[in-house]
Amino acid sequence: MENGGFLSVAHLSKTFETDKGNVHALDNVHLSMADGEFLAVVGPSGCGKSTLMMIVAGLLGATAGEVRIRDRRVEGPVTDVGIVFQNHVLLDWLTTKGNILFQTDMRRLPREQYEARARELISMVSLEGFEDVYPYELSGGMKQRCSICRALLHDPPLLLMDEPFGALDALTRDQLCIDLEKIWLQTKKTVLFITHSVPEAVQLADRIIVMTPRPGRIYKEIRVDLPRPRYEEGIESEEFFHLVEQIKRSFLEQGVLRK
Amino acid sequence: MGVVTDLVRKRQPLLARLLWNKRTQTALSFLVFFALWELAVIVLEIRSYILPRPTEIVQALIKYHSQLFFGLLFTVRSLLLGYVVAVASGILLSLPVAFSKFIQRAVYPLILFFQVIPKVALAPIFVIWFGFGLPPKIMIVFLLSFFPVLVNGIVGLRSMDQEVINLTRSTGARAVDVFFKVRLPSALPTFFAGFKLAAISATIGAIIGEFIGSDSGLGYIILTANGDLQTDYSFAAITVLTVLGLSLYYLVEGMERVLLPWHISQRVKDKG
Repeated sequence: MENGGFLSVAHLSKTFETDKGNVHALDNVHLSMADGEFLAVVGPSGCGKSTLMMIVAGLLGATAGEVRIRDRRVEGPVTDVGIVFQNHVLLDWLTTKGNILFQTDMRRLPREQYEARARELISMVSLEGFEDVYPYELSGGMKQRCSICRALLHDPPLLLMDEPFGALDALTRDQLCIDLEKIWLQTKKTVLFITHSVPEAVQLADRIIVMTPRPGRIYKEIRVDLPRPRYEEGIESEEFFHLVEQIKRSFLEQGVLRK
Repeated sequence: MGVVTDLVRKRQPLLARLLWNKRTQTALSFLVFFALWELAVIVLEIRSYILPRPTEIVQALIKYHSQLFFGLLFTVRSLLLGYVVAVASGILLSLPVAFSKFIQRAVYPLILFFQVIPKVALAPIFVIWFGFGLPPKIMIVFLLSFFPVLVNGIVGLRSMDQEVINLTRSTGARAVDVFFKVRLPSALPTFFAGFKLAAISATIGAIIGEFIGSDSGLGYIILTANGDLQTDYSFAAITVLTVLGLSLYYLVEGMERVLLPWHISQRVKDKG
């Protein structure tokens, strides 16, 4: 694999013990990520891709195998990270700005120093004019933008995104994909992006990992060499459709999709 | 949709618009209720000592206003003292119970047990213990309003979303920060629900305290007026009492509105 410099996942397995028996969520997952790489993990619902992200974040323990970030073994919650969850997880009592600066409250960072950065992020995702508004006054897409800003405020090298656009309507999704690519091109974070949307993965990622249904294994790895920024013409190119087809075919092969 | 109905409404004549107004509707339904009551008493020739007419109750309110006022002062005293102590101690006790698994296991069954006891039944015993003065009344108000505050507080503090927990863990935040900046604010709406429930119970408690043994207060007025078959006077006292209970409730709700402008129940009301 690539110069596995930044992050590596080795022989990772996860079994959940439940009352109804064991559930094998992940089976011998092996991958690595280079610094600044955008990696998407695509798979059917319940294939353990969110579990994979939780283990990488150190929020969940592995049954076997290990995760290393910058060659340090992950043993507890990783803090040098920004996470965007499927639900926005904004706090009701904080305004847009307050939610973004929430990082400074939790990490005990000097708030004044981050005010300017918060403003910058707000304008990057076009949330100007909504700084002092509570989450209930924001649309679904705006909430998710706000939560992306929160994940970026403390400038972490790694961004983990767990189906961040899964709960949004199709148009808002497309817009946020465009915005996310812009942000990524500006910030060059290492991004682990979990999704079940194939076009989303092809539009955003440098490399795509296709997972099998439970227990999640790596089925296939696909490089995406489309020129960036892809939102300009990349997503209309033949190559784009070819890649989407290729991944859908691998779901057909696995029986995830049936004709 | 709101815009469309607004437009439609503006074209309607004044009377129709007035009838659409939510406040007018509320006022109207009360007016109709009291009018029917008044009418029923006259038509069915019900004696005044059995059921006075609403207008008679208003007359009683005017006639006995000074007695009612002093009764109110007495009742308010035990009501507020008991309520404030209940809210303060309910909040304080909810903290250790919500946070220590050990205290939770030890104390929670006890709390449930005490909550199930019909506390009104304890009122006569308080007279034996504390006499006829203010203390037994405060005690009953306290007992009735303490548990809603405590139980709501515990529930509010314990129910934190798993995703929010994950978010705070990924920041490496200290427990103190998570408590004061996440857990406590997220519990506030549930706390306030408890305060409101407690406000209603407290009013009931204040009256029971005076029923059991007292020589003043609105509860005492109701009892003595009943004894003299002055039902209109009795109803006048009940009216004052109802207004008192409502005032306390809306006072708490007003505080909630100011302190938690972001809270769902506030929003729904704004739009309704």
